[in-house]
Amino acid sequence: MSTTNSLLDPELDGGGISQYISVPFIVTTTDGRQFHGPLIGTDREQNIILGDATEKLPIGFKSRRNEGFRYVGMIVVPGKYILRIDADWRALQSNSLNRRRHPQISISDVL
Amino acid sequence: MSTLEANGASPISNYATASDPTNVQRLGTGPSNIPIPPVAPNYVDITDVFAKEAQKIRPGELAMLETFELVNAINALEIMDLKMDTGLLDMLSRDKEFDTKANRAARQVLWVMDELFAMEMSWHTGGALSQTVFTCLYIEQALKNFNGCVSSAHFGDESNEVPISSDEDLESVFVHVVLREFVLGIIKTCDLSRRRLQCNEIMEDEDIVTQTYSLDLMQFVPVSKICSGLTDAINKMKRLKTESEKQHVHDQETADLLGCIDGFIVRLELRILAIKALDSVDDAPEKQIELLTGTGDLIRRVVSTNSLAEPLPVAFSIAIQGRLECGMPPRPKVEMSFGDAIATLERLINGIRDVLRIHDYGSLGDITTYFEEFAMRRPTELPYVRCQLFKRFFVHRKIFGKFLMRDAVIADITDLCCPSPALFAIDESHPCRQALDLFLTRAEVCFENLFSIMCHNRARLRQRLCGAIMDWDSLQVDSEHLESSVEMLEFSPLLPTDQRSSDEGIRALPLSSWVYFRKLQIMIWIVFMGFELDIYRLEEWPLMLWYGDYILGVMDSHVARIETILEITAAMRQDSTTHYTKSRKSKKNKGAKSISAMPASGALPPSQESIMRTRMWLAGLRSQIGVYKELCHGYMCFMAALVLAGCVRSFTASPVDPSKEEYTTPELLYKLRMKPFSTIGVPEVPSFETYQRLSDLRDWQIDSLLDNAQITVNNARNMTDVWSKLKPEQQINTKLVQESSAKMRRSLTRSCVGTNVAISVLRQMNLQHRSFVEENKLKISVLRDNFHPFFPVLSVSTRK
Repeated sequence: MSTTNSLLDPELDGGGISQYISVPFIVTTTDGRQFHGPLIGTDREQNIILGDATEKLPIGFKSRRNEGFRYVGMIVVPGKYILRIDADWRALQSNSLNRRRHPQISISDVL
Repeated sequence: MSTLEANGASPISNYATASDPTNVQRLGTGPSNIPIPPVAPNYVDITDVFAKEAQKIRPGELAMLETFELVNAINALEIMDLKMDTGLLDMLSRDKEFDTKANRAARQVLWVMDELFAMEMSWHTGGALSQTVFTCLYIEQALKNFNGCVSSAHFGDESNEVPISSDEDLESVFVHVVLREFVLGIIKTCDLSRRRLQCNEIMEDEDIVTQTYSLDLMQFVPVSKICSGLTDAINKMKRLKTESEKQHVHDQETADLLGCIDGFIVRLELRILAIKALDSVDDAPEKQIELLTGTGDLIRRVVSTNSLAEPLPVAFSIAIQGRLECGMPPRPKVEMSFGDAIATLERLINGIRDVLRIHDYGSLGDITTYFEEFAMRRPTELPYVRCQLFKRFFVHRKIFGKFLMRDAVIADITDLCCPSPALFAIDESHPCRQALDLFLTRAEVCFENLFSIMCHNRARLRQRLCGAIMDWDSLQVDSEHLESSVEMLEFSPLLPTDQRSSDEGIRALPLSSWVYFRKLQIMIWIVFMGFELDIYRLEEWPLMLWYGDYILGVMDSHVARIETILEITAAMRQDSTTHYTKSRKSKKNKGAKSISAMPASGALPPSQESIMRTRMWLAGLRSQIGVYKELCHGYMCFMAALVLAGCVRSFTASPVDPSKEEYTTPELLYKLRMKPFSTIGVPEVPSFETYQRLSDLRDWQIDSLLDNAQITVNNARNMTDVWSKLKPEQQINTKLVQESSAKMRRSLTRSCVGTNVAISVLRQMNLQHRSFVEENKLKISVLRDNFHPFFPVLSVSTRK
C-alpha cells in the first residue's frame, strides 16, 4: 500500500510510538478525505486522535473556502477507516532527536 | 485532472450514493484506486511503520500527549460516523446537489422566501445559523460567491453570474432578481441583528447563537446598497404586474402569477422595512415607531399570499454543516411553521415597540419598575428585545445618554427613604464627602448590574441574582459603616418614637435602609423564582415557602420601620413649618433675632411632595408584601395538610433510599437550598434545627390546617382586591407598567382562587381516612398557566 521513506527508516523504525506524538499528521481515510493535524494519541487498533484538525476533500470535489480546507477541531479517526498516514518528517526527526519515552498510560490510570 | 473528473462521474458515486448509514461500511471497503490528494513535500508515508509501532501498544492502553486527558476528547468528532461526521454528510449528499442556477416557478420561489423567513425567526428563538438560515442552499451559494462586492453574491458558479436572458424569462427573474435580493436582505438583517446581539445581557449559545462559522454576513456592505437592490426588484415586479394586467387575461394561472408577484412585492417591502428598522436602532424612538407601525399591514398581506406557495424542500439541506468551519456533529434543521414564524415576528415587533415606551418615563423610578416588570414577563422577551432594552437604556455609560447611574441611585433612595435633601448636596469640604462618593460609586455598580441582570432570561436571571446579593450585602456593610460615622449622623438625627422609651429614639439611616431593602427584594425574587422555574421538588415547597415567609416578614418590618421614620419626619416637618410661620409672624411683630426651631442644615426636612411620593410607594410595597405573605401562609398550611395526610413526603423525613442517607440527609438538602443566602450577614439563615422545630406538625389536624389555609388565602384575595383598587395617582413609579401591574394582580387573584379550589377539593376527599393516599389514588400536579409565576397552583385530583 505504501512504502516507508528511506530517510526515516534507520532513525524511526522501532523507535516507539511516542516519537509520533504531537507530530503533524495527514491521515487519509477510505473515502479519500485527508485530515491534517498533530497526533494527540493512538492505540493498538490505530485509532487516531488529532487535535485542531482540518479536513481536505478528495480530488474531484469542488474546493471550498480556504483552499479547500475546513477546520473541524479535535477528531478521532477509527483505525479501520484509515487508508494512509503521512507525517511531517522534519518534526518527526526533531522529535526523534529529542526523544524521550512517553509513558504508556492505561485508560484506568487516566480515569 | 483525475480520471473521475474526466469521466464526469461524482467521485463518491464509486463507493457511496445514498445518505443511509450502510454507506459508511461501503466507504470503508472502497476501491483501492481512490484519488488521494497529493501531500506536501515535507510529509512522508509512515503507514506501515506506524502500524508496526502501534502493534507494540498493549491492549486497552493509549499512547498520548502528556498533557492530554480523555475528558478533552469528549468534544472530538468521530470521523466516518454519520451521527458525528458532518464532512461525511456533505460528501454523501453531493450526488443530489441542488442547482441554484435553475429557473423556478413563482410559487416555489414564494415558498423558499417564506421558509427562509421562518428560518430567520427560528434563529431569533435560539437555533444556530447552521441549523436555520444557512441550511438554505441559495444563502450558501450567495455567501460562497461573495467577495466583498454585492454583485458577486449571485446564485451562479463561482465567478460566472447567471445571465438573465430577458424580462420575459420570468422564472429566471424570480430566482436571480427577486429571490437573490430577498436572500441578500435576509443576510443583511441577520448581520445587523447579530451585531446588536453581541452584548453581555445575552448569553451566547443559551439565548442565541451568533457564530457565523467564518462566513462573512456582508458586514461591510452598506445598508443602502441592499435596500436599493430590493427597491429595484420591487419596481421590476410592479412593472411586470402592470404589464400582465394590461393583457386582460383572466385565467387561474395568470391570477396565481399576479398573486405571487404581489407576494414578492410585499415580502421585499417588508424586508426593506426590517433592514431600515434594524439599521436605525439607535435613532429617535419616533422614527423606529414609524417604521414598525408600517409592518402591520405588510405582515397581513404576507400571510394572505402564503397559500400560493409551493414547497421546494430540496432548497434546504443540513449538509451545509459539512462545509462550514464547525467542529460540531450534524444537527437537524430547526423547523418552524410559517404561522409560528409570523407570530414570532409579531412578538419581536411588539417587544421592540414596548421597549421604546421606556422613553415616556416620568421619573427615574418609572424605569426601575419597568425593568422589574420586563424581567417578570412570561414568556421571556426574545433575546433581541432584551438586548435592545439595555442598549437603549444605557448609552455611553449614561441612562439614555443623559443621566448618570448615580442620579438613578439617588432617585431610588429618595423615593424609598425620603432622606434630607441636604444628604446628596453636601459640599466638598464636608468630612464625609469622599466616603459618600465612594459609597455612591459602589452603589452605581450594583444598581447598573441589577438593570443588566433584568435583561437576562429567567433561569440565568435567578443565577445572576444569587451572585448579586453578595455585592449588595457588602454594600450594606459599607453603608452601615458610613452612616455610623459621627459626621454622617447629622443626616440621620435621633427621632423620637411614640413608644414609652422615647429616650432611645430611632435613626433614619437612609443609605443602609435602601441597600437592605434592595437586598431583601433580590432575596425574595430568588426564593419565589424557584417556584416559577420549577427548581424545587414538591417536598421542598414547604421549606421554601417557610423561608420566603421569613424573608417577607423581615421585609415587612423593614418597610414598616421606614414608614415610621417617614411619619415622624412628616410630623416634624409640619411642626417646623408651623413654628417657622409663627416665628416669621413674631419676627415681624417683635423683631425676633433667629428661628431657633428650624433644624440644623443636615436635618433639613424633605419636601411635602417627596414625603407624599414615599408614602405612596411604601403603601404599595406593604400591600404587595402583605398579599405575598398571606398567600405564603395559605400555601404553607395547605402543603402542611398534604404532608400530614401523607400525599407529600415531609422534607425533614429521612431519605427513602437508606443507601443515599450519607449525601441526601434533610440537613444537607436544607443547606443546599439555603446556599445562595448562607454567606449573607443579615438576615441570617435560620438553622436547620429551627426549621425542624417550627415545621413540626405533630399537634396539628388536617382540617384545622385547611381552615387556616382557606382563611389566609381569602385574606390574600381581599388584600389583592384592595391593592387593585388603588388609583393610578395613588401609585408612584408605575407610569410605564400600569397595565402589566394590573395583569399581575389579576394573576395573583387567580392564584388565590385556584388554591382555594384545591383546598376545597382536598377537604371533600376527607383525607383523615387516608383511603386515597393508601391506595395511591391521589394525583398532585402543578398548574402554572394564567397563575402568578411566584404562586403556581397545586391541583389535587384522584386517579381513575
